[in-house]
Amino acid sequence: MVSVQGATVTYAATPALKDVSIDVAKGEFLTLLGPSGSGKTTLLNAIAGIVPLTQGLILIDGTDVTHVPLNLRGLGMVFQNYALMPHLTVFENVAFPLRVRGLPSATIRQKVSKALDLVRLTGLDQRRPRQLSGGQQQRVSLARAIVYEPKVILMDEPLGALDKQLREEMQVEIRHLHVVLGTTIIYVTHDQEEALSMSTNIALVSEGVIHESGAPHDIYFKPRSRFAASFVGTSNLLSGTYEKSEGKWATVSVNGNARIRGVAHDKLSPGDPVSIMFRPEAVEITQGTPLSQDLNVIDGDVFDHFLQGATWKTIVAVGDADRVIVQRLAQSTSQVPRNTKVRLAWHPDNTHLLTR
Amino acid sequence: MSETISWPLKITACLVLFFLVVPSFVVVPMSFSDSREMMFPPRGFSLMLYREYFAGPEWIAATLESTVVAAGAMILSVVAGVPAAYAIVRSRFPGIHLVRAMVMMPMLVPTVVSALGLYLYFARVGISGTTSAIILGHAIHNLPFVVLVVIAGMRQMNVNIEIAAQVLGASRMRTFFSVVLPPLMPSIVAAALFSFLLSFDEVVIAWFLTSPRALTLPIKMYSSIQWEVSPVLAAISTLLTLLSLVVCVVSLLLRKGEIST
Repeated sequence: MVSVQGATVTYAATPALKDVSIDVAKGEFLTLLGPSGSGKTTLLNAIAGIVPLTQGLILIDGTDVTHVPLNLRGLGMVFQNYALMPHLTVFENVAFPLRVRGLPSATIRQKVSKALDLVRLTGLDQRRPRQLSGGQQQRVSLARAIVYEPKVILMDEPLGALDKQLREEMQVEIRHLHVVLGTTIIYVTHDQEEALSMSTNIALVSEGVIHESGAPHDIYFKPRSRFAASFVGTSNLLSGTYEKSEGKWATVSVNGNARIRGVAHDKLSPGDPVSIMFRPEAVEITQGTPLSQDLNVIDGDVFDHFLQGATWKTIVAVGDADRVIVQRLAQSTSQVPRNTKVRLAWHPDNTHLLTR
Repeated sequence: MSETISWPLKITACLVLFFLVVPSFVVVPMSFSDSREMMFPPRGFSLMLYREYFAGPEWIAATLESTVVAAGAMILSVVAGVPAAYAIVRSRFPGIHLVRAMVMMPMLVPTVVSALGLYLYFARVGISGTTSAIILGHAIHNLPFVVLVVIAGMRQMNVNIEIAAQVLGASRMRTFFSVVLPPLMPSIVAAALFSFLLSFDEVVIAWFLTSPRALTLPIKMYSSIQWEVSPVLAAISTLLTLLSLVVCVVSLLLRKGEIST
């Protein structure tokens, strides 16, 4: 549906986007996830036609739109600060894209009320934007983006200005709209939880390039880079040296003596420096010997232990400088006081070797 | 806020205000005098001077001339100034600072100098002494004020709204007319009123460009004071002050409306 090929955007000699290529399939919900200043918004604006490409191509539905002005690309867009016209009523705001397309007013009335129903704003059509709450304004903005049934809707941190509770509510709503309408959505956010819970696909953007892309599940459980591992969710990263591969697992020596097994994704030769990555919720704290010989085991001292909502978070000092974070459901774990000697155990399948 | 201002400061402020305003208001009681001489305080009360003004065909002619000139200058300066302000705030091409400087120039050049320049130029073009010449002169003179007021209004507008309008399918023209102009209307009306007022009592440029065929009210007043100090001037001045006051109040109300939206 949308294809970006070798897109480069240079602002005053500094590249904001470096040779980025990505394909977005029809009906996909792609999230461009990255820290601020990573280039994710620039990429979205380039697709919208707000920012011109210095180099590269943008295709929408197979047509090259690289030089098509933004008003003729036929996209829908939702902005972080809603960007509603303050002098128009809710009805007229939503009707705006239909009016510029010269539709008859009976059709406009019908389409606008359908869009307002979809975003659950029925009955507020004569209000002005400033009479609405932030969440309601963003719903108007959503209705305005879907009302003319564009093939692709772009969303630039649409929930960034809302408080946490409202944000979670709107996430559900946007997911619902995506399912109901089947539209292709390209969504920009710096919030990894939002990206994980909403998207069918995530592209990790950093320093003007796409680092890694894939389904949320894969990005979370099988990251291929340190950046992905540390930016999405909390990760334990320990550096070590690759030794050998046996069966489906590779062995890495960590801190000189401990042997950790995990899944390698790249070709490695003995002696290569690697990082091993495993999630805090994959680790179990034992004070005796592990149950299975297959498990990875490492010993350490409890550095800190505290309740974080539904989970206990335990930070364990391992070796000289490394810390391992363990997260277990609060109900299933007993308390571990500080400075207790503990043994950490986790499965090699949940361990990944990262080289970049 | 008034709690934080000390009494000496309040008194000083009132004195300054008094000093600035009183000279203008001295003419108000004088305009209701029943004497043929200008004197303060006035003796008696009558509307004689107002009757004289409204009954004098040359006064009415000059007032009409000033109205035509001010309206013309207002329309021209707004039609040129609003798009100029939009361009100055929104466009990013490298020469925009130069354009901005050019537009602001009439405010920086001494009025006498630009008046002389306009006089020489219009004489060459062959339109000096006509109403159109004064309209053009005033439009140029008022342009920077209009641009400044509209820029101030533009700064409060979110550029994303214009971008959104375009992404949603509106052309640049459509965006300008249906997204930029409507919320800018209070600023534009305020700018237009100021332009009208500036032109209505402008003396220097009008003095250079005027002729017996096109005599504006301030020029007529000024020339009449040279021959005889006519007390009618007090009545006219009062009316002019009233006009300024109305314009100020209207534009203040517009600003207030703009801020609350």
